[in-house]
Amino acid sequence: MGFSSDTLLQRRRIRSYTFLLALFGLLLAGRLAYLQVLQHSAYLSQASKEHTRKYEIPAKRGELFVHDGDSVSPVALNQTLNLVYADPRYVGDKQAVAEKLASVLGGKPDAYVQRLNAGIEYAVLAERVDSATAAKVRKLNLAGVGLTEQDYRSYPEGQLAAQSIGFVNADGLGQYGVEGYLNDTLSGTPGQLAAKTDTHGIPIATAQNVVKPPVDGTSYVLTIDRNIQAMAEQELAAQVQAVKAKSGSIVVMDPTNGAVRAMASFPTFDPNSYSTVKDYNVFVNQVVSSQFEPGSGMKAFTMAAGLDQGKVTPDTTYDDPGCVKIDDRNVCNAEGDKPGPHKTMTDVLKNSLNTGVMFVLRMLGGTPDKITLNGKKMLYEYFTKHFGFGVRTGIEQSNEQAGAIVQASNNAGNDVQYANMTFGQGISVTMIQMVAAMSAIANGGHLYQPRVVDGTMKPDGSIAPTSSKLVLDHVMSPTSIASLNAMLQVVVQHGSGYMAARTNPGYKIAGKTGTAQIPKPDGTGYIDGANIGSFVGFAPAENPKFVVMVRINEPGVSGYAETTTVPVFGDVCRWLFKYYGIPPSS
Amino acid sequence: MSTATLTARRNQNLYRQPANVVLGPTSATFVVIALISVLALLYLHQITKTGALGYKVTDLTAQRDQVLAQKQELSVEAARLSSIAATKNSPVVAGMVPTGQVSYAK
Repeated sequence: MGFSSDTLLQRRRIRSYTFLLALFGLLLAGRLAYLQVLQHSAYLSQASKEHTRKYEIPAKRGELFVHDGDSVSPVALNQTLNLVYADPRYVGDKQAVAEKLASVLGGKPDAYVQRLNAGIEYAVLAERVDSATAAKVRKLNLAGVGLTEQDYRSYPEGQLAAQSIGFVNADGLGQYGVEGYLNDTLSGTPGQLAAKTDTHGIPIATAQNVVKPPVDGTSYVLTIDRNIQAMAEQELAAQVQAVKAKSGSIVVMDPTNGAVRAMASFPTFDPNSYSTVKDYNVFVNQVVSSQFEPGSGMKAFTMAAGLDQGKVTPDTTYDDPGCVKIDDRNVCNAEGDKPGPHKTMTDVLKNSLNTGVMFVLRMLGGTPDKITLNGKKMLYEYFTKHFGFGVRTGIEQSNEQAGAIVQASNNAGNDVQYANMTFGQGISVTMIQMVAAMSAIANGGHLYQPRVVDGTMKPDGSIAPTSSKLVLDHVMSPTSIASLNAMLQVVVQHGSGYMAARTNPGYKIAGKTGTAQIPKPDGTGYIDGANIGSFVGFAPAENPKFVVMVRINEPGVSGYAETTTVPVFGDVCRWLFKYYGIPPSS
Repeated sequence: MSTATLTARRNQNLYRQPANVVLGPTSATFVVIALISVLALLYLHQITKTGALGYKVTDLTAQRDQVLAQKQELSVEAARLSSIAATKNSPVVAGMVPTGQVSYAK
């Protein structure tokens, strides 16, 4: 039985459709297999990205503490406060809004109006607003005004030790002082949260969330004692204003371990409102960052080299000509010092004779007649290797400067340079170098690295102390140190430091004044009538407990360091004797 | 034993056959669907509960952060009130007398 041609056509059509459908099915199955099997990982990861978000968990910045007698007190803490902002486009009656804000936030309405007019889309109206005040602002329900939480650094002691501590800027970075120097360890390491989120992007607590906890920053206890710091700042500020000086600095160090007990400069600032400061120089810790020609204070170290080398003794005499010709220059004593014969080395320090320390330089070279290369090399060796001038001390402070000392050579002018260096001109140092070097003389010859970090504070409140670092064990022989100590006591009892002795009867104090000219910025000599006065000394001289250095820049009254800096030194000593309970020697 | 008695005993159901319950295909389908539904409901309940707990955890975290922020504020305020500057300006210190010359017993 045969099929009709129509039936055959229908069957062929059906077979074709079946084939096409099977082909389509195969294509679909192939596509599905491609998407779900071959591309499985790619789409899984894409889906995971859609539903998972990564968040940074900020690390808590380490806090800073200072000593308060036997306990510790915070000087840098973290605080979450509010920032009040506005989008001026949505603020209707600006005057009315400003008045409402002023009634809650304080200040004058005009100031808020000014800020609203100054901003186009975003205007900061108030910062550091506490939670109670923020709640009041929210209650006002002002259109166009919003609040956002921000992490701030708070400095509860205000201006106290501002330059030594530094501050944290708006980007969360430590600037200046300890905040700048230890920024990395204070900051810690942020953690991460990879979390499944809902449609609004809010993380949902699930077992699949991956959390890498943050590592909080290290908290430090500083060597600074807030009582000594406050007293030092008060004395310094009073003297800078009394002598109409441009600025001043002070540092108090424990000579037995290099710990800085106080370090301050004036004018200063409040790190809580650093953004309002106009003169950025006040941020700088002048004690470590300001290089200066120390003047006659350097004579103590020149004499130290002569004594330690056995080239001079306290009783060695020389004939003071008043001026010494070196190359084509006359290098003289300061005004008022009369020339004369048989001046002892003790007289040289007591009367601060420039020709006397130039004599020591010549003696270091082996001949009293001329300056030699060996003598200069010896002086350079003592200044840099024994006392640490010309290199950074490594104190935990930002922007520490090294100072500058010209190397000994036979170049033209080098003799004059070295003659000047013996009495602290033509050489630049920092106060922290001077204090560390004087501490080595005070403590019997141990040069310690100055430090402001006393230890780290653990989460349980206990303190892991930081050990002091000995840079050089014997800067001088014990006998030469004893001689120098006695000579520096004469300076205070009968020389330029007499005002400190008068303030502290019965106490043995050693030290040296320095009044240095200030070089012109273009290097063409010195500024007329301008000077830097300094005094560095220690007490009690027989068993030193503290080294103090005071520096007054460009006083507006006449006189040398003995009238600008020694009174501050004397008052600080008197206070410290009481604070430490040190009885007089006699 | 009489014939009648024997007949009665013979008619007694002395041997009980176990009930042979057999689910048909339709019943089995319904049972499976019911079981799947119950399991699905349980799963949904758990998922919803977990989700709700997630929001609760978020809320509690926010509350904890707020309390910590308040604690920070109070710590800073306490430190500020016991600072050197605040102490100097306190009425208690204002009433104190500065120390004079200290005498030491030998």
